[in-house]
Order: sequence, then C-alpha cells, then structure tokens
Amino acid sequence: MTTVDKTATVPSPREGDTHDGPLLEVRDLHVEFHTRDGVAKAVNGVNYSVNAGETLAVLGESGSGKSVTAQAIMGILDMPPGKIPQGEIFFRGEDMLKMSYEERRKIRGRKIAMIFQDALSSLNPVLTVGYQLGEMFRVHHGLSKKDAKAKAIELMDKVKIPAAAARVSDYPHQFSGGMRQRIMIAMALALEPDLIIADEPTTALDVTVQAQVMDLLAELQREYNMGLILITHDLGVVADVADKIAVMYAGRIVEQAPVHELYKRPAHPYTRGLLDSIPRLDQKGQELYAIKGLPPNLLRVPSGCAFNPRCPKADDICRTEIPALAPVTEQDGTELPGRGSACHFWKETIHG
Amino acid sequence: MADLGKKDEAVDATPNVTDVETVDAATEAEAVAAIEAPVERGEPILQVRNLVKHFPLTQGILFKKQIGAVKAVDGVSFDLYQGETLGIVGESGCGKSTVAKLLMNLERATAGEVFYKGQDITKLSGRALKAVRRNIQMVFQDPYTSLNPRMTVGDIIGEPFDIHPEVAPKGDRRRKVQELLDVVGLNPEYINRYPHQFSGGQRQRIGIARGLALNPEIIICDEPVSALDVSVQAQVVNLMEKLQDEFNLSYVFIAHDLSIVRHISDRVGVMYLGKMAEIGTDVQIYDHPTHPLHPGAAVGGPGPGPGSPRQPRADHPHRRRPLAGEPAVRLPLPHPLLEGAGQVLHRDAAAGDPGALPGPGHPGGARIGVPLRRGEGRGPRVLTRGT
Repeated sequence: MTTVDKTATVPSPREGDTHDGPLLEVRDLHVEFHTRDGVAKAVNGVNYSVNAGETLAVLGESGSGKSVTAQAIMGILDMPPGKIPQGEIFFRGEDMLKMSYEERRKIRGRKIAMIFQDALSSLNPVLTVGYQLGEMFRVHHGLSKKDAKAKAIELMDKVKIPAAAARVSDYPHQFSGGMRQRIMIAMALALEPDLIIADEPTTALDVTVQAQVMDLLAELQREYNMGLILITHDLGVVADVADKIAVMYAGRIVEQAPVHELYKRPAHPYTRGLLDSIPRLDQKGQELYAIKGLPPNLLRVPSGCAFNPRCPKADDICRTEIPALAPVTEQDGTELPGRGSACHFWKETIHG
Repeated sequence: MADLGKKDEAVDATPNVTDVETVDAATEAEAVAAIEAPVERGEPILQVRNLVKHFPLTQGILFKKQIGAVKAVDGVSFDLYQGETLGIVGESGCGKSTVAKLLMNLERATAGEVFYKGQDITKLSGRALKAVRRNIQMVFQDPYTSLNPRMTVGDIIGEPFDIHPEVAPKGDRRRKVQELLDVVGLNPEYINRYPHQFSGGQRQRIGIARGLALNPEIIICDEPVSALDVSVQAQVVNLMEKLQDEFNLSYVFIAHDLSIVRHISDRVGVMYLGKMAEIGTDVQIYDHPTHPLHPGAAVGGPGPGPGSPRQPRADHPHRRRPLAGEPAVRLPLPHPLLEGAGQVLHRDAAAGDPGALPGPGHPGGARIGVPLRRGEGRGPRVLTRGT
C-alpha cells in the first residue's frame, strides 16, 4: 500500500477538513449547448448547496437540466458543444471551475463520485467487474493488481453482493440489474468520496429492487457521512431518503424545500401539479389531474416564467417577468427555513 | 371441451374463474360469425385457462438437444369481462409481457387455451384468426422504438387498413386516420409528419391511435406509460380512460407502477414467476394481500411522500417494506447463485412477517388470493354447456 492510502482511518471527522460551510455550493450556474439549431440553454442560474451527511434530491422531468448540472459539477460535461458562460461551483470553498485540469482530476472520483443511471451501459462489457472496481485503486492509489482485486472483493461485500469472492471475475452481463447497480455504487464508494452524485440510480430497476438499492445507498451514506445529490424524476423515490428537495424546470430551480414540507404544502404550481398527478385512492375512477401541455423546448424557452404556458395560475406578469427564487414564509410572516419558490403567486399556491 | 375448468390440477393458481361457455364452430364461417357477435357488458369476453409458455433451452448445433426450458408462463388463468380493465402487475421477468404476446397470438402457447367469445384462439387459423386479431389490438411500451421511423404518422396509423381493408375502403382512409388523430388529441394536420418530430407522450398517442384503428374490442397495453415523463403520464392515462368509455373497450393493462394500475383497473392480477399469484378487485389486492410477494410489490415501491395524507405512516402495515433477494430466475438448472422463488418467499415468511404466508410448500407454488365469492366478480357466473 502506498502513501496516499487512508482507507484504514475512520472517515467521519475527515482529515484536512478545515473548511466549515457547505461541502458543495453551486452558485448561479449557467450551461448552454451550441447546436446547429441554436443555443440550447440547459441550465439557467442554478443555486444549491449540500452539507456533509446531507441528501439533496434534485427532481425534474427529462430536459429540466438536472443531469447537466450534475455533469458540470463532476466536470464531465462535453465541451464543446457544452459551455459554462457563468457561475461558480465551490467544493470545500474552492471554485472548481477555476481549477486546472489536473487539480480537477484529483477531485473527480476521489472526492466527488458519480453513480450513473444505466448500469449496463456504464460498465465495460469486456472487462470483469473486479477489474473495473480495482481500477479505482490502481489508478488513484497505485495498488498492485492483486491488492486491487482484494479491495474489489471487499467493496462487493460492502454493497451486499452475495458470494463476492466467487463473482469478482464475472462480467457485467452475468449480473442482474439490481446487482449491476450495486457494482456502480461500489465503484463510486471505492475511494470513500465526500460527495456522491447519483443520477437516477433506480430508474431502470424493478420496484422491489428499487427499494433495496435506495436503502443500501442511505445506509452507506450514514456510515461514511457523505453528502449525496440524488437526481430523479420519481417523486416516490426521494420521499424516504432525501433531506431537502430542489425541483427543477427548464434549467431553473422553481422550488426548494425540506422534504416533508414539500409534499405537505407545495409552493409552486408545477410541484403541485406533479403531486396531484399521482393517482390517489380517493380519486379512483375520476380523471387524473394532468399538467397540460409539454415540457418546453430549450431552444425556445418561453419568456417570463418558463412554466407559464402550462400553469393554471398564469397571469400577465408571468409572461413578462422571470420570478426569482424568493423565500417562502408563513401567512403571518414567520420564516420557513430552507424554503423557496420561484413563482409570482407562491403565497396563493401555498396558503390558498 | 367439458373439462376446461381443470380445478383439480395444482398448476391452476387462480381458481376463482368461471367455466367457459365454448362455441363449437364446424366451419370457418361459423367461427367468424361467433367472433363478430357482440358481447354484453359484464360478460366474459376473453377467458384464459392454464396458459403455459415454455421456451426451450437447447445444446449443440446440429442435433439441438433440449436441456431444459425457461418457464415464462406456467399455468395462468383469468377472465376479462367486457368493458373492464384488468391490471397485471409483476416484476420484470415474471412473464407479463409473454402473456400479452400469447393473448395476441404472437407466440404459440405451449399448452392451455385462450377463449375469445368461446373460440380457442390458439387453435384458430385463416380467416377466423384474422378476425380475432382485428378485435384484439396492442399498445406497446416504448413509443420510441415501436413506431417505424421511416413511415409517416398517416402510414403508421393507416397500415392496419391495408391488412383489414374491409374496415375502411381505400378512398376513405386518409379521413379515417385524421379522425383517429383527433380522437387521441393530436392535430389532424400532423398526418404527414414522421415519428421523430413528436415528443414521447405524443408518440404514445400515435401508438394508441394505431391500436384503435380497427375498432377493436380488447386493447392489450404493455406498460403504456412507463417510458413517459411524470407530467405526461397522467395525460395518457386520462386519454385511455376516455377512450374506454367512448369505444366500449376492454383493457388488459400491464405495468409495474402500482399506483397507476390501481387507478385505472377494475381488477388486478399479480404475477410471480410465470404464475398468477393473486387476482381480485383492487381493494382485495392492495388492502388484503394474501401472497407473500405482494406486500413487497405493493408497498416495496417507494410511496408518494412522507407526511402527506396519502403516505402510510411507519406503524402502518403497508409501510414500504423491500422484498429480500432478487427476482428469481426460472432456470431449472441448479446454480448456487440463483435463488429459487421459494427461497425468496420463504425468507420473508421465516422472518415472522405478518404479511408473509407459506409459499413454496403450497401446491402450485404460489398461494392463491382470496377467491371471489359467487357473484362477487363483475360478470355473472357462466356454466359450461354440456358438462
């Protein structure tokens, strides 16, 4: 084992952790893609932060910019055609967008790791899972092949893959979807990162397996005291594990709230619409509430609030002025910590 | 065909089905006439009995020796009544989609019967089979791959008319297609566009329009909303319910999203390892599950949200409870790493789980749901003629 190895130490009071403040802070991030048809504005000023041990769920439909934000944080955005015209991403107080390629490379995988959506296409089909898991240790820690393999078995045990020692030389196609996703989790965990970004980790899985994978992720997060950004479009998945939720629409955060608050009292018509379109027992046989229209085309985002063409509450002001993410308060003005809504009519939505 | 009930056979996991009233058609014309005859609302229109589909596993190149079989569907029985929606839920690999293909006669059943208005469609051929296929249509899961990218929307929706020209004469087709587009909520002017010019929800509407083209009586929907965005799912579900009322359709609705299935279905069947583990009304299935798989499937899926009035609390018996283990693989080959279905269910039972009941020891491998009492189902009991 070489000098950089710190796996033996207990992770929670992390060494060199002098920075107090959020683990990760995204400030006014913009991402655009230059295409033949024009400039697609995928992310238009996103702000969020994650503390150690905290889970932030980013909720949104396809094309809302949730995955692009994650890729920008990881530094794996395709540039070009992608471009970050403005914004800052602070990791432990340092702006990652100003770092050199080598500095970022040291963070990627070691400090911030990512779990990808489709486990089958994210794993290399011609290499054994043991080799792919061990790669992390060989590249970052310079371990020998033999030691790396032992580490890989350890990791597979950690994510509860049965008979890990026997399966370490198997290829990805020999595993089921749930097991493959566990391998992805193991790979992200390998270097004990401070922050994990999970991009739709359960979307491709069966309902019964979804719950297992989420529970595993939550358990490991507690154990390692990691920050977790959970990207999903499924309102159900986030309910049990997240601490706070950010709802994205057309590249903006339209609502931010602690998880229980959001489900109880949504303060944005879009969030309300999403919650209302979940079938409920007392409404069986009736028509489901459906948000009318389609998600916007990012090449032509509607003026004003991007949600206005689909919004039941839309007024003239919504078509001209972009609402800022304003803090949400109780009716009597008491502050609701952590809540924000980017709607001109949030008062009516939450209290009406 | 008097012994169709086969109630004494252990393989039948769903005893709460009526007997089949078969129609013996001597000639093809009689069979077609029976198929075209209308069915009263609430009468069984499709009756499935002990349906089995095994896919053989072979070894060798020249002499393909069969070394086993994947038991995709292993004795499934159920009734579909006219005008109802039967939901079928289950994990991937439990055989739901194979059942759909068997109902469409796209796969040949290994054994068992599918009666459509008293005619066993697994034995039909020629004109009679064509008439059945006209009346049973399918909407596929993935709207991105189930539409031919090189055909215009008009060609896609109009293609069924080429095969069944009696439904729409040639000169009338364009108008018919435009009508269908209007019915599913698309602009009739889109008739010359290609699938890639539409969003996922719009594509699924095109798929539904294609399914409706021949005025079928049954539509089999194989995960019709799984691939769609949350805000669009509700739109498509509403459309399907509207069309059901408008055209008097019966649906077989296959999905793994339990909340949507519960919303749209009159009755729900739970499949596990090629067998129908439970079947009943949504209240029976969701509130009084009797199969050990079931509590996991019903509430194993994450709930809509904590603290919300719809979310069961932690002390609630329906609290999210993940099932242990992987969905078992149905290979008869012994393999140390593949757990059999029995073990998965058994583990739950051993843990003293209140919802768990003995699974593997039970004849038929799966515990049977609360049988419908006489007259409790939607349709009246039909007795076998000439028993």
